[in-house]
Amino acid sequence: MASGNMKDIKRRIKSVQSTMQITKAMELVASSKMRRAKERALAARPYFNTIYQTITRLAAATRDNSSVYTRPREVKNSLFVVIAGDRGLAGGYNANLFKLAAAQMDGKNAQVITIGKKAQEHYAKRAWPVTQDYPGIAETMKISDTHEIVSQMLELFRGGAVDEVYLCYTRFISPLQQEPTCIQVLPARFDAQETEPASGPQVLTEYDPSPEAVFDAVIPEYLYGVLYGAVVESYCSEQSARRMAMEAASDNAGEMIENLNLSYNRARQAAITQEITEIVAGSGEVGA
Amino acid sequence: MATFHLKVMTVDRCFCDEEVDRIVIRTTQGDVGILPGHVPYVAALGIGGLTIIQDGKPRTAAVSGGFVDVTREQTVVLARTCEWADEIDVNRAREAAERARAVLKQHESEHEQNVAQVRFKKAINRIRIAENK
Repeated sequence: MASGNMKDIKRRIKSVQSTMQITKAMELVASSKMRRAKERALAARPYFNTIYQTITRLAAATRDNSSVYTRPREVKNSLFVVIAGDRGLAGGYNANLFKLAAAQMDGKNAQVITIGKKAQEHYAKRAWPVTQDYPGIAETMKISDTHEIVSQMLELFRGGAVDEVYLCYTRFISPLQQEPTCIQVLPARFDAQETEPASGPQVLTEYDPSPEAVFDAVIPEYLYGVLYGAVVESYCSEQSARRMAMEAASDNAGEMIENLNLSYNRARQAAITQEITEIVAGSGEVGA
Repeated sequence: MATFHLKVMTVDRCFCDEEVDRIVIRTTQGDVGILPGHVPYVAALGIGGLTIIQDGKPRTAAVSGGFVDVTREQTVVLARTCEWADEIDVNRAREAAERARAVLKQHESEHEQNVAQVRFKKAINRIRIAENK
């Protein structure tokens, strides 16, 4: 009986060990992918900051005759662009984002554009109509990939099919911290206060051909930048979340192996003791 | 000689962050030259070349989309795509031009035609810049 118990424990140790090997490998893969993704996310930031500054200045200059992209409208339909991962096993990464998105969509007449395989699978089973799916683009994201998505977004918005557009993604704060975020991208709002020059005369900027035309040309650029940045950050967050989840899994597996080893040794010792007892009892009988 | 600070950026790369003498850039309205002390100016960019003259030596790049923003302090070019002339893969650009031309001949839907036309223009622009460097 004791040897059967030992065999069971041995088998369990083996299975936990092989699982640990997998989680360990996934952790390493995720951390090297995260490093690359982080570089990409950080490289996108200066571009984004500059475009944001310019557009805020532009928005202030064209404030009187507001453009179709900034004018607030009565909201009937909303569009949500939900950026999630392509794979699972990343802790609460996907679930947290979907929870936030669902909270934001609550009470709205929402439709969805999904980015990432997990988002596609999630919304295929939900009541919200899906406009379009873009699975598997995050890892090799290029700025040209955003053109199709943004032009679709703008078409719906300009055509009046949707009156506001939200972007749900996961902000990368640090390798240990990511935060699901939802921002409104259309109609665009820019804080005019920041752009007010602190002192001195207002600089007169020349717009070629006109402020409105430039503004309308810059807005899509801005959206490309925003979308690209959001996808890149989400991807980076996904990898960090996976790395953390896999690290925890490896730790747990190590702990489990330790416990199992302990019980294995106990069982082994119990078997030996029992054998000795049996031998001693037997020899005593023979001697008597 | 007077210079001004120029930044050329795309989403994934910073191409230039230096003092330059002057630049010539293709906006939607045509080529525009920018010299030191230019009046504050913003324009959207078309598909064309960007020539940067630094220390009297020109350097060219193929640029498509984006915009240029000139302020007192600096000039910023935010481009959708940007490549230095010597980085352009001419063969790839030629192939892209061929492909786009084939699509244009097929009389596809209006959307496809537009997409192909833009691709064609970009490819031609790259070839032109690469060969004139």
